[in-house]
Amino acid sequence: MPSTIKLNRSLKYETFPHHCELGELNFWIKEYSVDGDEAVQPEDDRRLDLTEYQGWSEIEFTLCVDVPDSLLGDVLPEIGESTVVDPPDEGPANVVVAGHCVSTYTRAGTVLNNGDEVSAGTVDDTLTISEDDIADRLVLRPYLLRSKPLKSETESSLGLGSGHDYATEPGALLSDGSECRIEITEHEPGSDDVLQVERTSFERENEADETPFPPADRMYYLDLKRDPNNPVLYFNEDHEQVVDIVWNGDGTYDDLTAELIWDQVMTPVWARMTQVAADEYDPDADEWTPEWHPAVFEMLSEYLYEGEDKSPPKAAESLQKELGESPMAATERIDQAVQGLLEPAEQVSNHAQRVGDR
Amino acid sequence: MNDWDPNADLEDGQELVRLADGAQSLLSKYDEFLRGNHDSIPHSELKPHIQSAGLTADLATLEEELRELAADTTPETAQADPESAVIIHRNVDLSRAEASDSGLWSAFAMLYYPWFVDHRWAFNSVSAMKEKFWTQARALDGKASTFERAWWIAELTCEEKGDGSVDYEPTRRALSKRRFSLLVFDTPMARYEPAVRALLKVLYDEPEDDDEDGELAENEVIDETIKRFRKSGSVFPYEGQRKSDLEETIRNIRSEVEKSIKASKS
Repeated sequence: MPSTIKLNRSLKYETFPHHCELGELNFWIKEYSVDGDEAVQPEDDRRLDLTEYQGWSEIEFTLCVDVPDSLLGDVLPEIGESTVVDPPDEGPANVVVAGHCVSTYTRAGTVLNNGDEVSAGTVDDTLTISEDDIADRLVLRPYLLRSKPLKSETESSLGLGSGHDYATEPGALLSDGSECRIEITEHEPGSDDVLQVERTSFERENEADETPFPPADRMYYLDLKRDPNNPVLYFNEDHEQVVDIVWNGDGTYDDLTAELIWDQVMTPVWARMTQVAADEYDPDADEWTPEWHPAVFEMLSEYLYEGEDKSPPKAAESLQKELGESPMAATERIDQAVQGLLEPAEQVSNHAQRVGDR
Repeated sequence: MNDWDPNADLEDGQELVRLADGAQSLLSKYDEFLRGNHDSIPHSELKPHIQSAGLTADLATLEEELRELAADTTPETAQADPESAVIIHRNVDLSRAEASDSGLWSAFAMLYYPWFVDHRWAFNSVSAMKEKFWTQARALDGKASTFERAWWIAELTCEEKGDGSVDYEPTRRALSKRRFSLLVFDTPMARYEPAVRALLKVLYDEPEDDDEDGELAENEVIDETIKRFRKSGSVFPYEGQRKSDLEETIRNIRSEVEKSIKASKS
């Protein structure tokens, strides 16, 4: 009998030492109730936006997980290839919903079914969160886990040979499903004062007749047109992984990778903003507007004119002149200044050392 | 009141302030601050970034206890880590949701106790020292600022007793070896409390005699056990296991690891 799964062999998420069927659970939030008020059905039962609620102390969610008919037979031998004439419709498994709140360093699990047995169909239970423990965002993910060991007598009574690959240990993953996200408080990533950062689906944006958004295969879009006073950098949600790492970075790998993504995006974004701000600079105006123009030069002038000690307005004036006279020299200057500001080599080296183990 | 007077003494029950994101750029602009010249950022430049947090903490007691600790510990080493986490957590009573605001912890490092950040960390580079004053990401050991790191590691490890008192012995144990805190608290695994407790239980060797000190296992054992335990999490999701299940798993892994280390040495 394979009594323990060898934990020292290399495991990828897709390759398990036992048979499992990932992604088969259907999970949704049926309703929620804020501080005991009447339950509300969410508009989107997998993406809840609760940021409009302020000053609550508890929210109770009703969680539902649907276990499809075919799944249990595939992953539990007690139900599956049973030699018993009338196989049981319940098997030794638990439907667990795991909650993870990155901002409060909190993870917890709750079992939806009773008695360590699951049958096909929908199980539901409530989950209550307290304002003390959860902030920003809560992500919930469903799992189907084996609940009891598969004993050797059961194996032989089911006619299973020694080579079977059913999970035998309690807690082993049998299936999972898509997560539900609950937004609790508004949260902006990035801290660049001059730039608002948002996320949206470019595919959806393109459904509108006139849209400034680029096609859905692009990763980001810097919008300087719609509101010239307020530049917005949009990340394309159609690239789920990218957005997830930037917004919901979790652990060293994600954080270091987010830095690389950030540099990759910010390099052309800074360059474009510098060029536009220089081009539109008016030395005779009373005030230097929009505000982001001086902000860009405050960040970059020391790199644009290294060792020349130029003030931000002087730097803008010089760069404007140079853009007119010699675009090649001016764009090279911008290119180098942005690298001076962002220090991309540092992030790449950090990534290589800490993630790539070089 | 959303101001802070750099010349006033810190008080117990003092209202806390937070620093808005913009204050981060002052650390690059005045990098003498990172090199130990804590008067180098003009108050007029800090002021627009100071916001009221609507919370209080015993800052005078904390100051006194940090001063004593600094006097008793070797500068620029991890020696002060266990006790500093305990006294910071004890004097700053917040809920997890309140403590999730990094701006709060930036104020502890940049405004109230920059000298303690200096005591703990050597200046290696501007970007590395900046991380000690300003949290760069949610990885507690690697990229969290000094006070945020200390408070949260205490929060994730201390145990509230039935009588309401708090036992900080697990906190001291968790921070007794940098290797352990680095491998555990930089990962999402640390957020599942039973997993941290189980790791401490199995990897900390209790003393055989009452008058001796216990200690965490050797680095080699810590490294490999935690590595394999983290891998096990994708097959056995942590949230489906209790502390006792996790302890058994970790105990099995540790004995396998020790066996293979012994075999490779002989």
